[in-house]
Amino acid sequence: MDDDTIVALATPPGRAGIALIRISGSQSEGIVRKIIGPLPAELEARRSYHGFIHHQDRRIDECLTVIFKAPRSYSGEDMAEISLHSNLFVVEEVIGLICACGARSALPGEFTFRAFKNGKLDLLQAEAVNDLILANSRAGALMQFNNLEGRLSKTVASLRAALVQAAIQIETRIEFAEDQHIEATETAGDLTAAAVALEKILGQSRFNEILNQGLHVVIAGRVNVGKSSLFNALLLKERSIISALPGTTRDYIQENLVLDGFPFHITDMAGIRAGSGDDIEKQGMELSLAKIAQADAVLFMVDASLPLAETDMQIYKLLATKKRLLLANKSDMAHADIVRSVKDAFPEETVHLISAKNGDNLDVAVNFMKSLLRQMPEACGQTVVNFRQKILLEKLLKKMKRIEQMQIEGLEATEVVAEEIRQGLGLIGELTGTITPGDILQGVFAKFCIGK
Amino acid sequence: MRVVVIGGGHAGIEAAFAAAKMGADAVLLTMHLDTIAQMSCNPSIGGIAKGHLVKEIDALGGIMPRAADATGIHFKVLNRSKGPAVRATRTQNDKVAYRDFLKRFLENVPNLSLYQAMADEIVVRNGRACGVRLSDGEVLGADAVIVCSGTFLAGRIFIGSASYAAGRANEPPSLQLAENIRDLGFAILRLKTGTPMRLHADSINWKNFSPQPGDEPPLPFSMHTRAKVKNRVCCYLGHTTTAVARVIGENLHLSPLYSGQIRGVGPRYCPSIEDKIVKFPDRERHHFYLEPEGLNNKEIYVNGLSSSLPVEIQIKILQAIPGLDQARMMRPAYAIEYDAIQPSQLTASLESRQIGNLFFAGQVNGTSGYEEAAGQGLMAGINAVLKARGEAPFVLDRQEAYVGVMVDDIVRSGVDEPYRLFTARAEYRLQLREDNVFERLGGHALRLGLVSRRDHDREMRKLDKRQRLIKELSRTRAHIEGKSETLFKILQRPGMDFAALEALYGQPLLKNKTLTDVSYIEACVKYQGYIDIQKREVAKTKKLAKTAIPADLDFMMVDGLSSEVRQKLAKARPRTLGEAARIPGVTPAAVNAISIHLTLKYKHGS
Repeated sequence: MDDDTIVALATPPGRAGIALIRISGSQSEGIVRKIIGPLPAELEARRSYHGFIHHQDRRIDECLTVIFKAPRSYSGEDMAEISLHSNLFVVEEVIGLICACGARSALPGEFTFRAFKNGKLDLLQAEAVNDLILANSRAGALMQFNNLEGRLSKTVASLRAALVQAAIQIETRIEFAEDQHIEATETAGDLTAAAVALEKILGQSRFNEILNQGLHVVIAGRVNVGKSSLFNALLLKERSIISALPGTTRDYIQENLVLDGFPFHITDMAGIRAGSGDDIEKQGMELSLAKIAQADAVLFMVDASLPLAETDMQIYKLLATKKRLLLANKSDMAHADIVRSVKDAFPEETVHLISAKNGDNLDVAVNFMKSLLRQMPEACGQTVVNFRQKILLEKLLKKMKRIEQMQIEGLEATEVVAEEIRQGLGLIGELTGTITPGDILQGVFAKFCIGK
Repeated sequence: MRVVVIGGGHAGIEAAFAAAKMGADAVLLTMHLDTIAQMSCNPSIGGIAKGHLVKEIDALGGIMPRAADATGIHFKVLNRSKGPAVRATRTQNDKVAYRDFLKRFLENVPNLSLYQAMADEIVVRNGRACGVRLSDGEVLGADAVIVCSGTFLAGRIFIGSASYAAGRANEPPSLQLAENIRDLGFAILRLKTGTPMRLHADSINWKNFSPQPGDEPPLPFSMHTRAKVKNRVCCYLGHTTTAVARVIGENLHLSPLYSGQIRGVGPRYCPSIEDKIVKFPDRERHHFYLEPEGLNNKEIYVNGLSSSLPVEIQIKILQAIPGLDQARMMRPAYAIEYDAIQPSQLTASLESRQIGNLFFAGQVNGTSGYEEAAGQGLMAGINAVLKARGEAPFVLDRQEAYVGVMVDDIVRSGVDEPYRLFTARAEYRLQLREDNVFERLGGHALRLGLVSRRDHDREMRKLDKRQRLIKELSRTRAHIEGKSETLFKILQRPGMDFAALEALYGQPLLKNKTLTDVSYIEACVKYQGYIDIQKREVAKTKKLAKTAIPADLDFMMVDGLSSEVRQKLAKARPRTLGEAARIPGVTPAAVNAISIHLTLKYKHGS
């Protein structure tokens, strides 16, 4: 079944300068020759050739082609890479053409799966490669690098040690409790401590997600307070529709900003307006509240040129547990008594006067976001837990708690508790790749983005 | 067709009996007819995992369980407080009666000849065993030979600094055969085991020890046992003292184990008293049991005090234990060193990989224990006949029997200390129970002619009765904690057992029920979830395990293996990926590498 040739788009779909289509399998070169010309009679590996993709007599696109000969390729098979212009319709047509020549669309992660099968990567490396691609931040990338070096394996090994200890204890009780003359040589396995350690890892996995995926910062405030202006000013580009009419940004808009090597996902919320009769806007507002709940921090804006409204106070109440920064916008039109009333209304906050429109004092927002990074615990830099690992670790935690509970209650038969411990050890095996039944592998590789 | 079995111990007896029952002309060679079936060490059969084995031997038509029942003087089910899967039967036996019972029994088996002679040489022609040369020069021709030599191959006994060649106390060792087996090219292990002293019952002050009575009612091993078994003796529990530790500490240099005289590897799970004192210096005392060796003699076996110290030190040890201070020693404790073959040289049917039609079973394969020996003897006997007939070998899977676990363990990984079976060695422990042994093995036994159709059908009817009740349980409801639930679900609750279920239901659910019935029902209900998971695992593993590795595969040619793993694979020679995966040190990545190699090889058609 692996004899077939697979094809996929390796770059993100959409409009961009260049798209890269990858083909892997024995037919790679043959397919390239069928659809691309002119090419010399002999293709040298790892050299790029200029040509045109054609279908019958029609030229579809101009392209560069590189071929690789097995085993000296990513997948370990014959491969070809075609660089063309990234237009969704063109790309789709070309992939269709390639499939018509005998290739088939790659399954998610299939290129890496083949690399793994051909001995180019081991399992943990294969997984780390994927996470490296997905890691949005420098720190995330660094942590994935640590995983390649076995840091996660080490943590898991200590969990295994605790379970092994528990197993040793219980097996000893089964085999020797009655009238054999053996003394247990091992000390009690501390399952409780191991469960606590595991809970900590899972607790940190939120921070690890942040490092891997970035921090979420929401700009909140009532309608027409200037959120979109701040959003755009921060991103230094015009993106959302700015309008003086209240309630123009009905949904939310999210954009990424990189500060100190970390990604921030800045969300420009729909304006929150009390008693709005507009249904669409109401939906947007519900979404706003949900977004605030998920946010790591909030930039809370009030209008320095207009008296505070009840809505401002209501929004502020939603932010009670959030890291927040109070920005009084429109400094250019500010009234001193309004600014004072803002200070009085929010005695816990420092009020920062800014002008989003003129770009005045925006550093205060930037510095606030950078300070979020410094507040993240040191420990979160240690281990990355990816989705598959997280699911397994959660299962393992549940199993450990169940074992603990069984031991406390003492109602289940000893061999049943022993069976639970064996299952726990099985989970650890799945986690570290020491036990990799085929379906786990498939799960691991299905997670890969197509084309990698 | 003739099968010659060398050695009349627990392995040899089962081998000869099975072969004879399957229609072979079985010859059982023993150096001394009066000591066949001798219990060389403890006077008991069974125990945890071992009891499971004995029940399996019973289902496969073996004789050990019947002999144990017939000569049992104390019956106990161990781990009664734990669940059905780890409960196990054990008997104390009258050693002399045991021996006599088996001799009489074997004398009456058609096709079986007992013959007192010393085997000196296995006659090999064209790479196949074809006979046995006796010490008087006579050659017994054979279609298959089974070596069950126990501790007799180049055996040497140690008591203090004294040592002498022996297969058992005061019995000569087998020296020629030991040399012959080395000459045939077998890799040999030097192993060690020991046995405690025997004391005169009248010289023991019994008041100092706590009685350990048998179970009431006592339960037999065998489905063939019709007569009621009875507890006739009591065992006693005692403890060593700090004075014992002191005596041993002061005289440790006199132990051949510590002076370096004994180089053989002993079992970690059955240490001598000096080992215990040295390894656990913080323990003030160690327990031991006083077990009668029979009804018609006064010898008491001191289970837990095995030793190789000089006799006078052994006496000092006894003097330091209240209640044994006046004890008269009848036989001293001793250690014995012997040759075993590395069992990884055998196939799963216990046949030598190098020499065809030559089988090994029992302690000579590096195992310890009467039950382990008997289980192997049975398998070797069956397979010797099948081989001679040109039929496929009979190999039990790990998921269907402890016999399968044991044989697979030793032939796949070899041993580095005397091998003993534990329930923990089984991946599918919850399914390998005493209560479902016939369900697991009855079909094989019938097919191979090891049990009669009548016995088979009777056991199957019992099974049917239990299974019907289990179905009934999921259809019948009762109220518990104000809710209506099926009896099945109620029985699944932690802490609930069948007796409590019947009490809740208000009337008996099963008439004339035996402990086995209850155990079977509880196990099927309570383990259901786990067994379902295990069955799925088995199905998955089987798929992988079935991928065959060609016998001529050169592991040196497989890319991506470390040299250590290559050596392990070359040594163990797994037949399938499943076997390869179970070799200690062979990682899943290595298995994957082999799998890829096989795929590539297949792909390129070479």
